[in-house]
Amino acid sequence: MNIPARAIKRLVRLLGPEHVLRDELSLALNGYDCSPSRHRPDVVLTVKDAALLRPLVQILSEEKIPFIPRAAATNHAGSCSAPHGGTALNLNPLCEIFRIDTAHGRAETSPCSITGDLQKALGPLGFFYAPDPASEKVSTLAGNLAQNASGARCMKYGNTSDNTLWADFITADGKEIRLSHDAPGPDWLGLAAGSEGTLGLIKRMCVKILPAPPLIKTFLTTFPSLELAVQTVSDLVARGLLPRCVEAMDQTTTRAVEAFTRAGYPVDAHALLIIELDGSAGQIRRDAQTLEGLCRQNGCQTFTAARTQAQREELWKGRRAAYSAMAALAPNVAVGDGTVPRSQLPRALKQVRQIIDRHGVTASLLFHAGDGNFHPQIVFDGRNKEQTLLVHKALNEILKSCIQCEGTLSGEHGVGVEKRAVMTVQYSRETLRLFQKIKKAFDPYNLANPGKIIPVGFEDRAYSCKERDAAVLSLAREIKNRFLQKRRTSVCGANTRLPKPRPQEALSALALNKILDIDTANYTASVQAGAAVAQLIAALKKRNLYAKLPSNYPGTLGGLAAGKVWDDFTSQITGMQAILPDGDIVEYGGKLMKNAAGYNLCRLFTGSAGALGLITKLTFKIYALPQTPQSKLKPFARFQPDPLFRAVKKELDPDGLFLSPAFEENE
Amino acid sequence: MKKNFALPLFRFVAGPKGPRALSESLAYCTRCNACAQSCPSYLVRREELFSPRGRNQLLRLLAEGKIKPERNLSLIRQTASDCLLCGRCTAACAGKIPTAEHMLILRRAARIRPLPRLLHMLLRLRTDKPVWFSGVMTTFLFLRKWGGIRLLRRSGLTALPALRWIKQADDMLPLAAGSLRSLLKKNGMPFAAQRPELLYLPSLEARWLDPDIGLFTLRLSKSKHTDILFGETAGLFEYLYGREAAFLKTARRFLVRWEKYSQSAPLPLLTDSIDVYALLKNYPVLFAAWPGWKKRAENLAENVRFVTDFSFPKPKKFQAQHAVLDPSCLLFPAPQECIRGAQKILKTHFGKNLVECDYSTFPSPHAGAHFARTETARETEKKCAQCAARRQIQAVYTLSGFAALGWNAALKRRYPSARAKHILRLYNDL
Repeated sequence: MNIPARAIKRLVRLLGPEHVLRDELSLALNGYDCSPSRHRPDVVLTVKDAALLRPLVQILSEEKIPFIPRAAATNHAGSCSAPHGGTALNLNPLCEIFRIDTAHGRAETSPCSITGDLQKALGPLGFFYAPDPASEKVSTLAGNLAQNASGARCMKYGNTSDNTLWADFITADGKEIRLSHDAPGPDWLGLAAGSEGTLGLIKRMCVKILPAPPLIKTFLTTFPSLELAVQTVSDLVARGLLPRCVEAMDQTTTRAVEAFTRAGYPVDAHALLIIELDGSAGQIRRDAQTLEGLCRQNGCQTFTAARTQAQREELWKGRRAAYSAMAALAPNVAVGDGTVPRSQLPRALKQVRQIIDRHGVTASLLFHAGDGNFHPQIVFDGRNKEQTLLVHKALNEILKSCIQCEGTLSGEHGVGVEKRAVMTVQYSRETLRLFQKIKKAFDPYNLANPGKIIPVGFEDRAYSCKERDAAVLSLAREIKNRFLQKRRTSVCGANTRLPKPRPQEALSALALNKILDIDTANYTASVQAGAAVAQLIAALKKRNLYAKLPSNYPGTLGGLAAGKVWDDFTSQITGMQAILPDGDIVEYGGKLMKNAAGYNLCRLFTGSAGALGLITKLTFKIYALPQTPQSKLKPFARFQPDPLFRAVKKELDPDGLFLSPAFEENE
Repeated sequence: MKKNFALPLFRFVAGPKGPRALSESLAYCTRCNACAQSCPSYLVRREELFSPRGRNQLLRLLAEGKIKPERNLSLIRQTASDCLLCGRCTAACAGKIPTAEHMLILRRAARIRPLPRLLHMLLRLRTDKPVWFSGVMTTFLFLRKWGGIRLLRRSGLTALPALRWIKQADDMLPLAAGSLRSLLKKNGMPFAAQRPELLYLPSLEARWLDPDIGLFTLRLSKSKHTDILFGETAGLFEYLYGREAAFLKTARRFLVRWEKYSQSAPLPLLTDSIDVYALLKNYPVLFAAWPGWKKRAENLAENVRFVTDFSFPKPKKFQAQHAVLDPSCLLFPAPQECIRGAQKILKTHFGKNLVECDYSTFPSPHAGAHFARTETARETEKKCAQCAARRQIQAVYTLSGFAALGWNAALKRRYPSARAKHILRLYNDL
């Protein structure tokens, strides 16, 4: 891309000549990350002051120059390469931790503060930051949020998005907006998490910090097969035990780790679990007994508890060295990031092993068993082109097999340019079209990190929506008809909080009232949006199951999500289906605990109050034990739509046919 | 320029995983960036070009011919110079890539001469014309003792760029009474045994700048029949600052000289500098392309000793002040056995008062600081002094005389409460 001299002059005036780099070397060194993807930008801009970010993006927007935000560039997806050229923004100098507020449990930081540095700063204060990606020593907080990389502890404490309170966001046209989960309207922060910088930049952020648990106990247990290990994890969750983290390794990895660093792992076991419990001493004692009982019941070979801090470190030493151990075997390591529902883990792992054996590559399997997120690490020599192609083929097949197992191609690494071709296997044409519309709404000129996430030419390659439910199909048909006839629609449920819409506009979702699936292997429930919350709670209680739902809410599940009236529930949604104003049916997520592929549609429709589409199905987490509510039922808030909402609404519903009483503009 | 800028891709590079050809060693970088936060120069600049990952990728691009060296020479020189050769990136790296060694190769290829021309020529004399060098040093010491240097400073001549280093050296160096040879004579120590049991290779600082180090080394070795290799060099200066051919010539000459002494049985070779020790231990890798020389180098490497191999006299009680060990070494891989030995010795002297510092807050100002640009060197110094002040450290023990000199210059400016000493000074303190 040719960057006009006028634009360069403006950039130099803003940043200073020493921070506008155009030499061949700087361009070559700022076009890669941890993935094989390499594309040089045309200019590298080093930003030393966060206050310059907004004017900088404004200049880039006015000059129509693409920009690629770049921090530690540790991602495995090619999110930091510049396939369309443009400018690479080196944000690494913005690495300050501004404030740690232990009284309110939050820390305000610059976007590129190192995750490990924050942990180090919190340690002496008796606090910790829950997400712990394996690269935390070098990865940055905003980078983690952009990829929604969460690490091992997310089973108990949630992902990076859940642990971020607010972020100052700079859109592609240079507007600054504070995004938070609590603001009325769609959860833009949730949508920006995992967007890989394709929607805008983060200027400043505030993360949740938690008091360090009084005691942490680590256990090492080995099993004769991977299936038994995974079954143990499912049983743990079924008993209502929520460990701090559950990490697993297969035999190849254990052997490589033992050869690399003597961590004392038994090399004859086919599967190894590292389970960590935290809490008070009494609670840990009780949980440890349950844990041991379950492990023994599933035929574990060994069950060891770390008695001292040194022993605990020793147990973790091997797990932490797993990547290094594989890296020592060959020059390059390709890391996959498939995620499947927990119950599908044995099937997925079997398929992955078959793929690895079929292609004759050396690989280890390492996984966050609690989330169903596994990282196959295939070692190869990048200088051997045939071998490299074979490895990429194997990785693609692994991703596809994850999708076949109701999973996703990425749990925390993101899509970037490396995995976007596989997006057509995971998402339908309609869903990918919606992703494209969201991107267009946020960034009409395709300037923010272009060429990522959305596959090229997906219209021809992606499949069409596979929905079979008659009630959903009939509603979709009705919406499409109205869209073609340019008739107005007002989605309504039980109408417990809002006045009834005019009959000619009303479109009731009450026909969608089925409880589709209650899965006690994964601890998720899939329910149609028209189902009454009270009815759902009763159905779950009959099976001794619980969800984070308000007991006194008279309306429907769809209303609860779309109205964003119960904060506890928002982070519980793992999958959803919706009908868009043009009648297209879109689907996102499923029984997955992690999903970093594509934009998080669950967060877009949460709080959309029916203005962006009709939610038809929700999949959410359920529990074996009663859950204490953390939030209060909020009133159905009316609000003035912000520029983001207007832009998205315009893309999804250009004629403004979907009305919602929540948005004041409709009146 | 292109013709001159040839990377020796098949040259063997020493690293924790054993010797690998440069091209092979570079291939192990997976660009994971685990090294970035351990690199002192990256933490100052926060630019990819100054990160270990960027440096390795730069070499790879050069090796693959994807960038033209002549167009980027200034930046190549900057990044190669800014590497402090501390080797911390290798410790953090999964593939254990010796980036410091790669940077040394790049420095040679880019013909970087960080020292002033006059000083460079002077130090070259040490290998090429040892007698002349000895004469120059004797004159320098004499002038210093009788106020000649002070006169030079007063006359303003040291403000000239070519002579500026004289002022810096005068500030940095302790006022030595004379050379090691005269000190030994004064103390009645034998240094030319008929049948030596031990060969002592005094470092530049032990021979001329701080001869006490040499004296303590000999006292510590307790060997009655020691021969001292006056005027001999192992090639450290050539290895770090010169051309590879010059280094190989010096190293071969040194090997032959050692073999001459070791005709009947291999003689142990003692050194007081961890940098020289690491170089001698690395000889087999550096001669890997010549099997005959490699074998001879292996023989020599097996017989190299460092001062920490000897038992230090034990103190009656622990010392009260807080001390820290600076394990930095100019070469990579740093010999861990010496560092472990030094830690053990210091533990017996300081007990709980021996402070352990995290490297990211305590990078040595010694390691490669004279290569790095002022900005990086100053920032490194600042970090060290801050760390020393925060931990109330009063003594920094080093494993080479140069490291102590570098530290003292930094501490004098920023934290005068602490002093840096060679570990051999413990012997003196008792």
